[in-house]
Amino acid sequence: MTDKIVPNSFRDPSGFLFFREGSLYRQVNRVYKEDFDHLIQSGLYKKLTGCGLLIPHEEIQLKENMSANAYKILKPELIEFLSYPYEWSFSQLKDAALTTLEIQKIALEFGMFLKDSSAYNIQLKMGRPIFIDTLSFEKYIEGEPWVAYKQFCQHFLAPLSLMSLKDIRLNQLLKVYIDGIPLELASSLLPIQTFLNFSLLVHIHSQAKFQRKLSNSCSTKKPKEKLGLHSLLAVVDSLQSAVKKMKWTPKGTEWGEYYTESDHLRESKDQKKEVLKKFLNRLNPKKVWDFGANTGVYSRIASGRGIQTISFDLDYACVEKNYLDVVKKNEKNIHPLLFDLVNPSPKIGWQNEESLSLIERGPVDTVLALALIHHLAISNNLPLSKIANFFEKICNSLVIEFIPKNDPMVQKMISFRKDIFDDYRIESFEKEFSRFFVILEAQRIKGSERTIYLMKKK
Amino acid sequence: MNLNHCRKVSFILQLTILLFFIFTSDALAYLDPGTSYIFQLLIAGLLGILFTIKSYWLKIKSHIMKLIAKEDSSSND
Repeated sequence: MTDKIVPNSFRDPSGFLFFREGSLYRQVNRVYKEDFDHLIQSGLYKKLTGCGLLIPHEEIQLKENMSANAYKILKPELIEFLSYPYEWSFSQLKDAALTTLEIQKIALEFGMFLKDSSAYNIQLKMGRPIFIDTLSFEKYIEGEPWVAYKQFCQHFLAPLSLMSLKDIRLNQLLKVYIDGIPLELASSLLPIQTFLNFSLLVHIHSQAKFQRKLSNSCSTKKPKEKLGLHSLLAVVDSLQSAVKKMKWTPKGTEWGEYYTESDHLRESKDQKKEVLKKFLNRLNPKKVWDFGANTGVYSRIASGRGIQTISFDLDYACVEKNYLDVVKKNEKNIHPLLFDLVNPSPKIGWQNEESLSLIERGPVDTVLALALIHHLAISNNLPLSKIANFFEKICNSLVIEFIPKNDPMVQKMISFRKDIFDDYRIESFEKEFSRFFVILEAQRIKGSERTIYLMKKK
Repeated sequence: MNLNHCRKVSFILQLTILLFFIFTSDALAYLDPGTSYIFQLLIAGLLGILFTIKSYWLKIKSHIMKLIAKEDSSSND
């Protein structure tokens, strides 16, 4: 019997995650005994799991092959789909930040605090952010400052302020900087008027300047001055106010208004919904990934039937609107994510193993690819054979729409460029996809040349 | 003095205090720059004051709201 240690679970000496016989476990090391016992006995664990802020676990006994270092073995509740901060919309990151601060405040009431505040400690479960690292709590020592303060600013405050006040796409810097956006960089990118924003002046600009100022110092002496609990709470409260004030209104992007502006699609929408319902009834999947989901209109056909649905789109406004809808309607089965299918999230971090690629997070039961393939084939010059090959890797069945060249949307796409897409024909599409899939059904959408296919992997 | 003017004055005060902290910090620059320990010590004073004012203001506000609610309910009776 071999255990597979989760590759990104090596930084914290308090314990690690591992897979055994397909189940995920967390080992608590002896060095973390005192803190772990306090977490449980103080009632903090019960409080946080009761509020849905911390992932629940059960303590179990694993008799075989346990190291002498092991104090406890936990079996945490599983997260259906792992996502990363650079795949979240503005409000998803904001809610993750507020969740982290809320946990920090509650932990202080129970005599503990968060020893790290990485955005990677948050996952989205049942539509809401949840803290997943049970070993991030440490007993609070009177007078100590918040050790994870700078990390919070780098992982949350810097990207949120850049997204809100400079450019929404700057969250992609989180892909480059795994430990959050350096404050010096954030400070230099933020507009000059943010020096007049008290929270940003303190937590980003001044802190960045302070770091620069101390960068030449080589002393390792710890100061004698202490930070009282009141001051610590003041720091957390100030961060909370700063995050709450951050705003971004989803507007003006390419696809955010798609359904409200396109009459031709509105007409066919109802029929597409009916076709999708019929296909989903036939497939009966447990999990669905909807690519090019826009604001999640078709994703909700799946999630409404209790299917765990990941609703991917590359448009920031769409994903934001989709998530705000999830929050407003308290939807549990839909999880909107920011995702560029032609340049999917890579494996990043140490040895390229600290995050999973999209393919590693699959395969999923069913993929929905409605009104998508023309963007891949024509806007991105992807051959149909490559597209079919990709879908074969990530799903067991496929609901896919083919939009021919004479469709107004495709015509618009090729009107200002040379038509080099001779192979973009329904015959080629069927031939390429038939290499990997069996076409179970094809249904033409009335009043158009569009066809929706139901396919199952061979 | 209108509300905006008050806000501006309050902001300038905050800024002055903060800049005072930032630019007089050289004497404490013996720390490991990798930590945010000293920075939190520096901002804690200012944030602590603001937090205290905020806490009292929230208490006063909630007291006033309760009084208003009481008056409303008694006038309805």
